[in-house]
Amino acid sequence: MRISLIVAGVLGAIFFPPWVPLVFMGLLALRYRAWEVIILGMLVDFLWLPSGTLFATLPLFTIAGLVLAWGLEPLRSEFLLRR
Amino acid sequence: MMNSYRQNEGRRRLFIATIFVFVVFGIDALLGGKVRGLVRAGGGSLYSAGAHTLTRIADSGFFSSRRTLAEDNRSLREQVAELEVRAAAVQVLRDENAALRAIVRLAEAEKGITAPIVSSVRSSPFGTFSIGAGTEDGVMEGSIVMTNDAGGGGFVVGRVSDVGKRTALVLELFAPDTSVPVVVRGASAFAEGRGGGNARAEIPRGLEVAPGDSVTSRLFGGRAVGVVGSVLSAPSSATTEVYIGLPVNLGALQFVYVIPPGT
Repeated sequence: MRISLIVAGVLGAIFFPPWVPLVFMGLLALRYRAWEVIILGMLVDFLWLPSGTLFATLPLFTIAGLVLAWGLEPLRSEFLLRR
Repeated sequence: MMNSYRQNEGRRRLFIATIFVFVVFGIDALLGGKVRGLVRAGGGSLYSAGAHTLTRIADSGFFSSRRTLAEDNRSLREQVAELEVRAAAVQVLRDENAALRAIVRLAEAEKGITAPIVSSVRSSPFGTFSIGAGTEDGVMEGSIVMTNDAGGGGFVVGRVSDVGKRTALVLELFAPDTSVPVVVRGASAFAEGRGGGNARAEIPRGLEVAPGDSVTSRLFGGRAVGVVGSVLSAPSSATTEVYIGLPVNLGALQFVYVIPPGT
């Protein structure tokens, strides 16, 4: 299940609108303590972020990946990982 | 005990991934974007392979009846898009001739190259897409990307923002949150990009603007950047809202024309 979500996220980053990988990143981060979410975010930014404008255009998906991976940690700890 | 170990292990991996991301961004910045160039080349190959596979499946006849309809549909869409481009281009040329301006040279063939689009144009959250030409083909940062209609007054689609050896990243002219100086019926305005080749601008209310009017930009040597799609004017407002769009669907474009900056 985890690998399927990762693969879907990668394919979504290449073939589908930006909300698709974001949804899979969210699902991964909700269900697992997935470090892949951060890498997936970086992948989207590396694919599409114009170079030279790192500070003019923020790497939104990397930031989103970090926020999802670390921000949902208390929720996962409370409801998912203790089961 | 076991659960605590798993939690710590998970956090450790998250921490390593976080450090990894910062390190990779740092290396990419030091190498002038080479890492992202590699990632884009890989993504482009995957996209091309996926598109090729889908074409092969369609050509196998498995979905023949459906495919025929889809093919007809696609062909008609392309024809409509082409006719729209030609109609808009004619309007541009008419405006140019009437005003006897220097931008008549737009009608002349530009010196550039034709490049295929090697990525989806709707996947990017930043209004970018990749083309299959790079430094080896003479593409450079700042090159102007136009619809593949160099001889008949094409439209500017965007500008090359990042160049690899065989691929380049194009930032759409009307990418979200961008602002481009444009000229509509002689009036200067700033077009706010909305993505997908669409933009919105405000011009003085008294100016007569109609759908189909060409929109040019001095930033691109007076080249056409779109046409007026619709006009909204409220009596209580001092300005008229003008919605600008490319006369061709970006998703239907397969090739673009790239010309060096400053030409």
